Amino acid sequence: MAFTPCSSLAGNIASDCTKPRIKGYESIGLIFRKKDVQSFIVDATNSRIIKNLTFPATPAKSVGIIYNPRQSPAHFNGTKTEFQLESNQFKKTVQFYYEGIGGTNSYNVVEPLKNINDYVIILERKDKRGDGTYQVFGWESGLTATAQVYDEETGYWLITMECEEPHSELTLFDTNYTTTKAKFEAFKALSY
Amino acid sequence: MLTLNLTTLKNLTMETKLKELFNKRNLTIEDKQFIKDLSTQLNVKFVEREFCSDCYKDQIMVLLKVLTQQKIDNGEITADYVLRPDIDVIYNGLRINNATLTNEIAEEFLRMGLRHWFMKVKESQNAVEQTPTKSKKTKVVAPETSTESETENKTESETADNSN
Repeated sequence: MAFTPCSSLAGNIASDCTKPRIKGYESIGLIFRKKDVQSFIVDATNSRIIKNLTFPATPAKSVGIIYNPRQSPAHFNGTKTEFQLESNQFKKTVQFYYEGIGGTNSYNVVEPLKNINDYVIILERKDKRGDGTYQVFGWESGLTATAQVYDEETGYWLITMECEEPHSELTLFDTNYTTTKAKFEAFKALSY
Repeated sequence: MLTLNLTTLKNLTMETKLKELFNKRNLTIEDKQFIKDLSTQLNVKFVEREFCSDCYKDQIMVLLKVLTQQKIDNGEITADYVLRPDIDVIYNGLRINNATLTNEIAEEFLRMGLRHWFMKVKESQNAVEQTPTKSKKTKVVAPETSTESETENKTESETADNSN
């Protein structure tokens, strides 16, 4: 078989004038552990596209909802992807706040986020173009909390989850936006 | 009979050509014309949008879908399950598309709620798929009158909403 390099440019670097980019995320994201995924289906020609995920019937609750309704900071403000030259990977950062206080919340939410490193987060972009609307972070190497800052003045924990992955963006996408949305909604139903 | 065979052969050639074009990185003017001509021939609408990088590839999928549907309708495909031509996935480390699909995997996919990936499913499976959840089952079992009253209630509530 002839040798083919990883990839080469196959698209114009241009804005789509008919569909301008809408910035930002919606207020609800999902977090789960990759080990809790029962089965997954990815596109055969592009493994960056996750077509389907299934969670086991028991435990019934395997997905957490991250609900960040405040307008300031903006929903999931600080979420970004940066290419790292040295590791040749994309460093992905997801940032959100959590208003829970007390021992129970500390035990159930804050500490597990830094103790485990196989978290996956799916965020919904405001841009509803289908492929790219549901952005998946941590699918390949798993997210873990790298910073957790509580400040009584803001009244919340500012949590930063990070990972380094070989692919710049992964998405949850099946057929079209509506079908994918139905899947996302079904995952929400598995929340704690 | 001869006509049918000729049509089958023609469709097969078209399918092969379309699949070839789908994997081609840059389509030539001739390739694009072929897609346009075939669309006209099969009576499939094609709108070439401005700034649309994948219009032609999308159209290839539409055409392949039409050809597959024709084959199903003509009884040329005898398989129990037929996937949409754009479904080419990796599941449990196996590449699954129409060429590799087994009944077992098809049934697993259906259990996962992926009915929309199929262009054809086994008759019995089709019946099961129509009533996948408990709530839907009760709706089917319920007598017609209740459905009517449901519709009435809905209309009433809608009217109430509108009045607000």
